[in-house]
Amino acid sequence: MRVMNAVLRSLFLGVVSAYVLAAQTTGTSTLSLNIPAEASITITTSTTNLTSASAFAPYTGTTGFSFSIRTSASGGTGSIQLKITSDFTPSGGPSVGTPPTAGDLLTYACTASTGTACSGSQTASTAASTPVVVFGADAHSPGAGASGTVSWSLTNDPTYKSGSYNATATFTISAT
Amino acid sequence: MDGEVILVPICSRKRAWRRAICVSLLLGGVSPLCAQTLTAGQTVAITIAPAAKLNFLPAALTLLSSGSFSAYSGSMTAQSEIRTSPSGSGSVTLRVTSEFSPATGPRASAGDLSYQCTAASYGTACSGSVTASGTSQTPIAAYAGASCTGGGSGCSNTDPNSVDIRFSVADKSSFRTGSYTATITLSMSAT
Repeated sequence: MRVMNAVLRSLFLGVVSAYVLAAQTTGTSTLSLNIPAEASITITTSTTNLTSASAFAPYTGTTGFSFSIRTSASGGTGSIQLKITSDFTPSGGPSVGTPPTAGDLLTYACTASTGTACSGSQTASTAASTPVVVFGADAHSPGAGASGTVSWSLTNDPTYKSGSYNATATFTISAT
Repeated sequence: MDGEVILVPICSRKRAWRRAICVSLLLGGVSPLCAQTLTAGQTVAITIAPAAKLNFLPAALTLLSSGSFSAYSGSMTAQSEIRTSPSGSGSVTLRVTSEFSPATGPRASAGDLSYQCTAASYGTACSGSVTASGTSQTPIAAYAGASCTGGGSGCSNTDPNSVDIRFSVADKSSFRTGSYTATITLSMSAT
């Protein structure tokens, strides 16, 4: 009988041992992030050559850009603006800040796949930023990004000396 | 349960009774016929079961972005102790047990949360970028049979073992601004 008890006990212990031959434990953690209003822009046409189609016809050309934007759902806004941060050089040719002739202008028109592009013809300035695209609250560009263009037109004034001239336009995008 | 020690005395009742007599005789000054060394046999049986212990730091993780539309990322370290049987195995896995909320931002169910495992001190860490899931366990680390923690000589050299988990959430422009939170659960098993 005692032997039988020992055998039974062994069997019982064997069962228990087999039962505990695995272990498992878990734990949880939280992942948090805060997503702000933000925006980014890339100029896809690094150098835009303005050309004239005929004698004294305006110099024209197009600058492309891509952008991403997210504005706040409540009261958010956004914009893309441009400013001529370096006027045409060398001197003797066109100038945005001090045109040789009154009425000489660097103007542009805009397109944008997201937001509201500037309307009509805008005049570029060295003194102030001028509008390209505006965004309202809760604006979101597509995941692949949005795109737009600025089509330039520069007066072809006969008083310009012949030669090559360069200016720099800076695009700024913002979001709140 | 880490292990179980079973002490099984096999000193028979008969032997114990004889010892009692001997003690009585000795106390009475009788010549010790019983001047023998009495031994009590004892079998020590121990069952060491597979075991797993898991901890991770920090307990709550804030993911940060390095710039506009750069992915949000952050790292945590999973610390563990493990013992597997020679024919067993072990694992640490992850599951998203509570989806990001509110629902206007990233979604694990859309594949927005991924992670990489690096610097595993023991075992085999997950390779490449793993997309976290709310419906299935995804791997963090795997352990072979006869794995054990600490002491070297086949066991790990460190105690606890550790593996770094770097989380990443894509910063999509389609997400609405705001704060978002999800819960992940790490599970560890050993057989």
